[in-house]
Amino acid sequence: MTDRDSALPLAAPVPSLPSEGGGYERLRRDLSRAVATVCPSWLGDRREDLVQTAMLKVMAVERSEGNRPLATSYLYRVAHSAVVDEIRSRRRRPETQLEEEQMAAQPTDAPTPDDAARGREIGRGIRGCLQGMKEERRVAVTFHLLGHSVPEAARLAGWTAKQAENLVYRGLADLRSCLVGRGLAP
Amino acid sequence: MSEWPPPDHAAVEALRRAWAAADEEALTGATGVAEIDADRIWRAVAGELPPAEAQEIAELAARDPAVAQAWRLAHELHAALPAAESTRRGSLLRFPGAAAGAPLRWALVATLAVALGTGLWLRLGPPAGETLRGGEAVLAITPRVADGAELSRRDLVLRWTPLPGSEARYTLRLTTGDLALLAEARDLPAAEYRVPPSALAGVPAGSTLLWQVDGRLPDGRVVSSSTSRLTLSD
Repeated sequence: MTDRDSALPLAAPVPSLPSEGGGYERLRRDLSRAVATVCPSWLGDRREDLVQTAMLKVMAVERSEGNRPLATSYLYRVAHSAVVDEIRSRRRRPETQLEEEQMAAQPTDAPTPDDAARGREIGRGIRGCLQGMKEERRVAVTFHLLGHSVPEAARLAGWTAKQAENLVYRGLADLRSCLVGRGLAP
Repeated sequence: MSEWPPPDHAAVEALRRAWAAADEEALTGATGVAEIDADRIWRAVAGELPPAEAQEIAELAARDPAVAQAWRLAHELHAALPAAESTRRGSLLRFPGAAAGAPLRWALVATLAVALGTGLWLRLGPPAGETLRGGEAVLAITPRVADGAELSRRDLVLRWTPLPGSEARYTLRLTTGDLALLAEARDLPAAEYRVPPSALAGVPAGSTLLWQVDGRLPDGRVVSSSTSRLTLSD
């Protein structure tokens, strides 16, 4: 038995429910929203095509498991892996093509080119400043800037709530100082 | 009471967006993007890994834009997951073709009909399997059957633009409009596949079917076509 097999949360079959139809609508919608959030500059139809490909891969996994009903969390996990794989695969396109697509993809409420460029500059500064931080603060700020609340960061890193709060807040203060020092006041 | 004032939420959000935008820029057109262990990242976000291991991945994310992006995706999906689980008995999802039955099929039909009607998720790929831009090869697989074509089940041949070289292998998937798998052909050496009529038994004439191809090159690269549709004429 492989690690994956051992981790497979097979669930006992239950009778079909009308609400099950909404499950896949939801998975597809959640995937679309996640990709749109993380890759906002991709064209809408490119994102949807990526999500469709990921859904087909999820379906292939389901089928390889004998079409047994699988836990929702497991299917979301498979979908995540499929999307990451697809994004990576599609990143291999030459820069010129993606740049053309991304130019066309800018929504009307997108920041101005100057604001967007400034934002990316600050983003690059964040990555640089993180490298200069004390290790624990770097980890804490990384968790926080990847979207986690302070209590979530504490849980992931095995810190107490107080430890996490101090590390995140001090780390953010360090980050701000570093960015200001680079002429990148956020 | 904390000795540090809570950071301004809007300022943190601005930092998050700035970092994500910089990562996206760094990854655009990047070549040699390393394999990342998406499953390990998922488990880290889920809190299933020991703290030391989660911290190790956070260190990676601080250095590697691809890891950070995979983490953000996992975080977004985890945030959506509780809502998805809370409204379903037993947290189960079933695909059509399994024992899910009609309700799921019709829900998917409705969803896909909306998607098809608005043209959101079907698009034509580039015009050729390999084109040149700025002297660099662009790999693509493009269907050679017109999107929406009417085809007979007695002579249903699907063709697509081949990848360069003769060693590419293809996987084709044909599904109903509600994603029930009808045929899956793996390791095809040629850029075409004749769908056996037996695979279409029970599919009514006039049905809309979906098909999609993955091509794998000898170096492991995988190129996917867009999803196309066809209509069974008889």
